[in-house]
Amino acid sequence: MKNSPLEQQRAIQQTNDDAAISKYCAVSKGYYSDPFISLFVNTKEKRQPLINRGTYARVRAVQMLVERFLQSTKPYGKRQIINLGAGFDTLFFRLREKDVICKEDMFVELDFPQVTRMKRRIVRQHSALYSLLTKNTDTNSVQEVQDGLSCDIYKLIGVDLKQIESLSYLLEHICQLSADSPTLVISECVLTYIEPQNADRIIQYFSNSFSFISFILFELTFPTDPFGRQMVKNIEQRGFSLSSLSLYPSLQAQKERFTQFGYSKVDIKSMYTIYEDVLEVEEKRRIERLELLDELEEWRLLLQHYFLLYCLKANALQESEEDKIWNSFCFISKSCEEEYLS
Amino acid sequence: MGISDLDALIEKLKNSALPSEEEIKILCGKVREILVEESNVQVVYAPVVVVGDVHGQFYDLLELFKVGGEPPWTNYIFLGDFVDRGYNSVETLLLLLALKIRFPDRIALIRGNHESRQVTQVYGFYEECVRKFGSATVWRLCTEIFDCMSLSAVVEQRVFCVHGGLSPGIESLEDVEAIDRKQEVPHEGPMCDLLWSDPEEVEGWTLSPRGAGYLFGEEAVQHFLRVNHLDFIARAHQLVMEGYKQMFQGRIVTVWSAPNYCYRCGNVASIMELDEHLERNFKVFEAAPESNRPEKGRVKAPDYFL
Repeated sequence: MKNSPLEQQRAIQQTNDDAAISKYCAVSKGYYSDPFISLFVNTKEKRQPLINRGTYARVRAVQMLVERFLQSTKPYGKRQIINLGAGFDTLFFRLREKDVICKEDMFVELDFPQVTRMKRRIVRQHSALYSLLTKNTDTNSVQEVQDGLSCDIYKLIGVDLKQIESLSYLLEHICQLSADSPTLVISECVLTYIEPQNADRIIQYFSNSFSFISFILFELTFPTDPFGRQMVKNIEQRGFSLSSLSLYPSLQAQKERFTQFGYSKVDIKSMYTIYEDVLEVEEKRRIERLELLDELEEWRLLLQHYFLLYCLKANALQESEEDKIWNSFCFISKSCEEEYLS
Repeated sequence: MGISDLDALIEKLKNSALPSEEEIKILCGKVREILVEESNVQVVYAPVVVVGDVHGQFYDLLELFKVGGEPPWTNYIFLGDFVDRGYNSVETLLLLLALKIRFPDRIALIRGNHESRQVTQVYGFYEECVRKFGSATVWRLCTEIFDCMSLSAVVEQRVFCVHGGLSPGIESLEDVEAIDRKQEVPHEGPMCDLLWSDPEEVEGWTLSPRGAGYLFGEEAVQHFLRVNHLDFIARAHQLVMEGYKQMFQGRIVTVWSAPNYCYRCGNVASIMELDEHLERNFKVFEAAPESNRPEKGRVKAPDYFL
């Protein structure tokens, strides 16, 4: 029996807790460092080694892309980052701690109001988080707004992403984002829970409204092979549907989707390729010693069913300039992706 | 424990009721007497059904017996990895041990790399024992049984059966016989390799990315078969989405018997029947239907990245 929309929404919100627990587990096992995640999670749950290792790969790869974006757009003034369905993600705080977000930049986190209110409470409780909001900025004022928080460089806002008019109003008028500044949208396991026409409208909205726009998408794929069918079944047991997955069931389909919606440069890689060919060898050598992971076939299957897509549209720039940014942004993979695209 | 007690215990286990700690102690004592006497290379006669990894998927094991036939009517070789990963390692292992006591000549239990103290502490069997019995006593009893399990079998002197594969330190079956097996699985050396290695399209021997054992190529397989006058090797240890996989012109075959492995992989499983002429017949089967899984709803679906 299908759940009511409200029940579905609640189940989707729980994916935030689930992801935060996975990150907490990976961090406490030593896979990567995140001094903030423990402030958001209180659990005795454990995760299997392959989930810990995969969580490391996901967090590491997304952060690499974000930092490359910030690095390559340095000459263009204010940068804007929008984290869709940010949940308890600590990316903003990690970047702030590394001082890669400057006082001119703007970082926006959007999620359901129930989630942003919880995040606001936790941020206010812990000075380790709260102090990063205003560090090295001109003013010390942090305001409570729209189920969230607002200061010079950071906005936490409650919104249902399906309400595209509210979304655009919030970004353009409340956050006062500029249409021409380099803008990066991050969406990790979010759009796939939204009906495809709404998800597509979100993707289109960003390419239509911003002239210098990049999009990072981390999602699952290949729902029709035996592993994928079981994955869909297991995840949908949680009480919501993976709406966009069947409409864009492959890496090729996802790539074409973003091309079709106006992004001129699009690249997509399976997480397996990212792990094998992109992540730093030294780091992998270190984390592979943390826990025994002997089931390599299951590991390969799981990572092949997740991907990272990243793309760029900068039509105000000259072509050579756009190429330059793209080249310093994208991952260079030594192996051929073709076999995964089909 | 008489035959009628044993039959009652087997029936109880098949209905997925747990025996008491006291019963398990007796069971382990009995099975130990049988296993310690077995050679490192057990002699088995055809026809026989070869079974790969089961991994605590108890309701799928019951399904497997429906497909392959109930013991003792069918003669079985289980290639190890009885425990870990699945939700019912305790039930799975105890049922197989009880069947071994009841029909010692109709069921061979070969040790897999998960029949180890170290691995079961990572992959679930230890935790399951503590959860179901309130202490690690049952786990400790079972790990002592692991140390007694045989390392391989040979069917009609022509088919070598092992959990993982070959070892650069093993030339002949006599070398396997010479191993002092009654110990925890070592981190390296011939005993470790038998339980950990995988066949692969490689020249010679390379270290396995699993962190133990080797990858071995066709030449190693052909050489081992030639030296020992064997036809082919049957092994398990690697998930195969189609349930089985033949390599090197059929000189080595992987049998995988855990359908929908970890309740995650969506694969089918298989068992391999060897008839009296050692002809292979693979029987492919799926996970037990929901109606035959009383644990449904009480267990957590596997984790993903969300």
